[in-house]
Formats: sequence, C-alpha cells, structure tokens
Amino acid sequence: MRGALKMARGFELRPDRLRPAGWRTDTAMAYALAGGALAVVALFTIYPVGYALVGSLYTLSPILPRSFAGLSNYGLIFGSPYFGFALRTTAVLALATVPAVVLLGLLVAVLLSRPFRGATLVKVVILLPWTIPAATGGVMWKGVFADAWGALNATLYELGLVHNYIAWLTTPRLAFLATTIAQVWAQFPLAAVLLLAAMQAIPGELYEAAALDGAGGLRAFAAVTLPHIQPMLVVVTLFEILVALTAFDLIFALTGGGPGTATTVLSYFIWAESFKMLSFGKGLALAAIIAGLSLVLIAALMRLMPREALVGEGR
Amino acid sequence: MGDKSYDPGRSREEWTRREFLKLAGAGAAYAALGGAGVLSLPRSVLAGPKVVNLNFTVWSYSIDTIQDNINKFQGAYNGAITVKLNDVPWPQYHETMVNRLSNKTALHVLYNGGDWLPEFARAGWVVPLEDYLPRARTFYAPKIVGYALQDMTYNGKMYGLPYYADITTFQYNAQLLKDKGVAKPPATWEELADQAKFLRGKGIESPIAFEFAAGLPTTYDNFTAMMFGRGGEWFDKDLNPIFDQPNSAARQQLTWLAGVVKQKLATVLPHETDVVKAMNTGRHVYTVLWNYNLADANNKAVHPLAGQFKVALMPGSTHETQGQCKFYNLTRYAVDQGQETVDAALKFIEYFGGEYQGQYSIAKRWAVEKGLGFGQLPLFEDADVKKSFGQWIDFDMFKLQASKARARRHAVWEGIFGEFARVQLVRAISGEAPVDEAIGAMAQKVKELRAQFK
Repeated sequence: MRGALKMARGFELRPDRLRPAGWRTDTAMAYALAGGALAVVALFTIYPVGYALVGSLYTLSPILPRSFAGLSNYGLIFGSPYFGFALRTTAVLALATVPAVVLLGLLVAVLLSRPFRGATLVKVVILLPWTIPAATGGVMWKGVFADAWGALNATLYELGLVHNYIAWLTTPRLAFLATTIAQVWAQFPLAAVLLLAAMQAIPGELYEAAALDGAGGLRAFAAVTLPHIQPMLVVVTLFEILVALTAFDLIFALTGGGPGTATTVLSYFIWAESFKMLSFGKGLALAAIIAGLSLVLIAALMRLMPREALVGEGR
Repeated sequence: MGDKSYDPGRSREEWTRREFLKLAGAGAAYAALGGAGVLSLPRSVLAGPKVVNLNFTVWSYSIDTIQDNINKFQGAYNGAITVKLNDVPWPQYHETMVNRLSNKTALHVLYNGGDWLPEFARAGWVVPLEDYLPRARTFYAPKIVGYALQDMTYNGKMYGLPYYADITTFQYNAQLLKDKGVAKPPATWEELADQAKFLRGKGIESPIAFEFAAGLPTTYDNFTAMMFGRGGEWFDKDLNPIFDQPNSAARQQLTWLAGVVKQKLATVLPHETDVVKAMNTGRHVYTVLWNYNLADANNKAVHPLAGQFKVALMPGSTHETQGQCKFYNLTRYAVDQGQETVDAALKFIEYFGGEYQGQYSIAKRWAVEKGLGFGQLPLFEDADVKKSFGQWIDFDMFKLQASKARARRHAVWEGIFGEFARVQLVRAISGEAPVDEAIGAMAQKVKELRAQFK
C-alpha cells in the first residue's frame, strides 16, 4: 500500500519538482509499458508506411532490376491522364454515394427507432448487406446487372418494359450507375445502425417535453433528434468519405474498373498499376498520393466543421 | 505394508507407474533394435520406389478433364510420378504467374503462351524444352503448325509442346442469314456493316455480337485477329509500333468497331460464353471468337440453335487471322531440383503435348471432346478428329482459315502492353474515349515500355 502511494506520488506532476521521486525507475517503467504498444504501432504502421514511401522512389518490378527512380514515379503519375480520370471518378463516386448512404441510413434509423412487431428481425435483415464481404456483394450485383443474363434485364424483359437487354455493365455511364447503387447498398446498413444507436441514447424526456411544447414529429426530429445525433452524423460522413476513397473490392468484382476506365477509382488504379502493369514503385507512389490526399481532405473537413458538430450541442 | 500388487482403489484395467515404465522400456528397446536392423539394410531397399512430385499450374478451364488426364499419366507411370494440379483464373493468370515465378514458388510445369514467353524466358523463369529434350526440335518441331511453333519459340529456341493451338474465326448464323435473304457472308468489314444495317431493317436490331472486356486477355486476341483480316500488325520486325500510323489497319479496325457499336449494330458482351448464349437467342447473326466456341454453339445438347452456325473467312483484304498456341513449359525451378525432377517433368510434358505410344492422345482428346484446336499436324489428318470436327464445322473451311493464320510478333514487354491495350481498346469501342486518344495512349505506353526494357 505504501509502495503504491509512493508510486502514485512519483507520477504526480509537481511544478516545484523537475525530477519526481523515483524518477529513474518510473521513467523506465513508463518506457517499458509504452514500448510494447509503440513496437506494435511501428511494426504495423510506421514500417509499412516508411517502406511504401521509400519504395515509391524506386523502379520495383518483378521483371526489371531494382533501380533508384527518384521522383519519376510521381512524375509519371501526375503526367498520366489516367490519374486524373481515376481521381475524378473517385470524387464523383464519393459525391454520389456519401450523401445517399447518410440520408438512406438516417431514414432507416428513424424508421427502426420506433417500436414495432418484428423490429429485431428487420434490424438483422437491414444489417445483412454490410456483413456480406464486398467482393461477394460485387458478384451478387453482377448477377443483377449482367447484360445478357442479369436478373434486372430478365425482369424488365418479362414485364415487357424492354425488348432488348440493357448493357448495364458495358456502357460507361450505366456501369458507373450500377457501381453507385451497389456501393450504397453495401454501406447504408452501417450508417443506419450507428445513427440508430445514437438516436436510442437520446433521453425520452426530451421528446415528452417537445410534445408538451406542441412539437410534431418533424419539429421534434429537427429540434431534438438532429442536434443529438450530429456528432454521429459527422463520424458517419467522414467514415463514408474514406470508404468511397478506398473502394476497391466491390468494384473489382462488379465491373473490374471497366468498361474501359469508367469505374476505375484510385484504389483500383493502384492495384492495376502494381499487379497488371507490374510497376510496384508506381503503385506505392500512388498509394502515398492517395494517403496524403485523404489526410488533407479529412483535416480540411474537420477544420471546416463547427466544434459543436463534433462534440454535440451543449455537451 | 500389505500387498502392493493389489489395490482395491483401482480397476484391473488401470496401470501402475511401474507397469507403464516396464512396458515403455521394453517398447523402446524393441524399437531401437528394429531401427538398427533397418539401418543395416542396403540403401536401395530402404528407399523403396522413388516417387517424384510435380506441381502443374494451369488456368481454370476444364479442370476435371485435366485431372483425369493427370490420373491417366500417373497410372501410365505406375505412380512413380505424382502431379499436383493448381489452377488460376484466366483473367488473372499473367500477374499471378509473374508473382509466383518471381518468388520462386515450387512450379515444375505450367501453361504458357506466346505473349508471355519472352517475358518469362528473359526473366529466366522458364527454360527451352529443346535444351533438355533434343527431340523437341528434331522430332516434334517439323510436325507442328507454323503459328504454334512461332508462339512457342523465343530467341530461336523451342520452349514447349502444344496444349492447344487455335485460330480466331468469323462465325455466323447461316440459317438466319438465309432466312433474311442474304446470299453469303461478308467478305470485308465494310460489307459486314452494310449487311448488319440490312438485317436491322429485317427486324434484327443488333446483328453483331462481340466479346470485349477490359479485364479479359481475349479482348486483345479478338482485336488482333480482326486487324489481321485487314493485313495489319501491331509492331514491325524490330518491334517498333506500326499500329499508330495514320491509316494503319489497327486504326481502321478500331474506328470501324467504335462505329458499329455506336450505331448499336453491334453488342459488346464481356465473355465468350455470353456471346455463344446470345448468338443462340437468334438476336445476333455474326461474331468473332476463338474457333473452339463454335463447337459449343453447335452443340445440340446444350443450345437451341445449334447446327445453324458456320465459319467464313475473316473479313478484310487478306482474310488472315490470328493463330496462337498455349503450351506446356518446363520451369527453371524444376531444373534446379535436379535430373530426376527434370526427367519426370519431361515425361509429363511429352505425355500431354507429344506422342505417347504413337498417339497424341491428350491433344486429340481436347480436340474431340472440347473442340480445341491443335498444333500437331498429324491431327489435321486424324480420322477421329475430322469426324468430330465435322459435326460442328466445315473442316475444309477450318483448314483454309488455319492456312491463313499467323501468330503475333511478341515483345518482352507484351504481357504488360496487352493488359494496357485491352483497356484502351474497350475505352474506344464503348465510346468512352475517341479512337485517336486510345491509339495515342497505346503508342505512348509502347514508348515507355521500350525505354524501361532497353
């Protein structure tokens, strides 16, 4: 007990003491305790990032000798029109999917927040798309949109709405639309569950008070629900932006980035440069660029948002 | 003290520690004596029959048939050689193999193609067959069709024996053409567009169906075959690009393709199986595919319009087409394992791609059962092959088109270029990019690759 007290005292920050009691032992202990965690972080984060940054400065290919390339990999990327295409496609995908995911998630969360028979089952079913691996989801959606044998064309044909199948996956704009739909389908359940959790944490008394003040459903939603789920909305939005920026497996399975490059997003571009063009140095340079872009984007968004939106009103 | 041999607290089945130690000691002594006896035996008796294990990597096509062939091979050699089959999806074969080979994965024999051979050979991952099996050059080479031999040759060395060798053909629904009042199939691409417009007037909205997809290696093959019909080439003899010249066959053909797709005279489908099914709906009349697809399209057990499809010479001024060969290739890894492994791998390659007991049994099986083309000249005169092919193709027309087939010129960087080119081809065909832009991008890529690989 006395030892514990001594240790506790030793960790106290005292302005009048530059070296607390038992400083050497405590510092060593602190380093030892933090060292393990730091080692894990170093191994799984710092080392790969460092390796990627160094690798991006080399010509790395299984069929070419390794050689120092300086910044030429970056030069080739910025000079390539395909980087621009991929950047634009990724931005459009994010603009199309993030609002849709957040709005759909919000709508579903509102519907599920009210008690009704079978609510638990519905919640499980709603969550299903999120639990399915993205690549599997891509294959499933391929079954829906496939030009010659897809379920959608078959349905439209059976209903007499089309006479020839629609080339969903081989027409650039339609392939992008199909990708957007699949991405929203895969992502909205998580948004709904997170927002629902935030809604269920709102004290019921607030709604009772709002009702006494004569607020209807919409008014109560605007005055009570929205302010309280605002931090979660921000988290969900930021998360979905990151998901859109790194989308890969669903697109790989559904369209393979095609037709042509119509659905080639940045992550797919990295994969294609690395594994199709066998240019790992260029792939690493692309990864570094995307990581930098993501950081800048997230930092800018965090900065632009009012502090209340991040921590919640009145908290 | 009492009697220690009886303990009322334990059952008769339970052992004491002393009993266990006694038995274990006796067992150990017995084992040691036995081991010493075994060690004193001559090494040849000790080793028993030597078994060589091979790893064989293929792309995923008819795996059951391949495994059955392997079983027969193992039986033929009384289990002295065992073969483990690994398969990789066709669209990812190139990059998967590059990564496996560069990481020295245990592969002894693999499927290879002319487009990847220069890359794999230059990297030292595969070795010339004729260096280890001299009769590959002296006995087999004279019996192999020209385009197949060309696809298996790099720097003057023959690298394998054919798995299959096929040609790309222009296929059409002869019955539908006749019913709509068209006397004969088109001889040029321009005539094809005219016939397609005529057929649209007769109620066939999209008379042409093509197989193109950015992720599919066959995209590059299909386009090449069409371009060959116009007498074109990708590169000159020194591997300088000629496809980007102002009036090149490639530019003409890509412009033509983008035009018919834009006019919706042609439908683009992402895989050959989709095209075969679509052709059998009666909504399309013409297509260009690897020839073996005609065997499927004309299979009455599977497709409703089977029997209606025929082959005509590839449209264009020269009616040439692309011939190619996929072959069994020995790896450097196998060579590094020693002579026994090499001998086993050579037996395997010869059993699969060469003669075994006077028969090209495996190549013939692929031809008869699956309609795959072949590179072995004797099979062109084989009665069983002729009979089998005769059920789904005019064999004389097949021979005529095969006589006009040639292989592409292959560069060491063609594996990478092919990946890039097919994306550009699809961009232009789907209207995503102008033809000139796609051709320009491909030319730029060649420039980059030539600089990298100089």
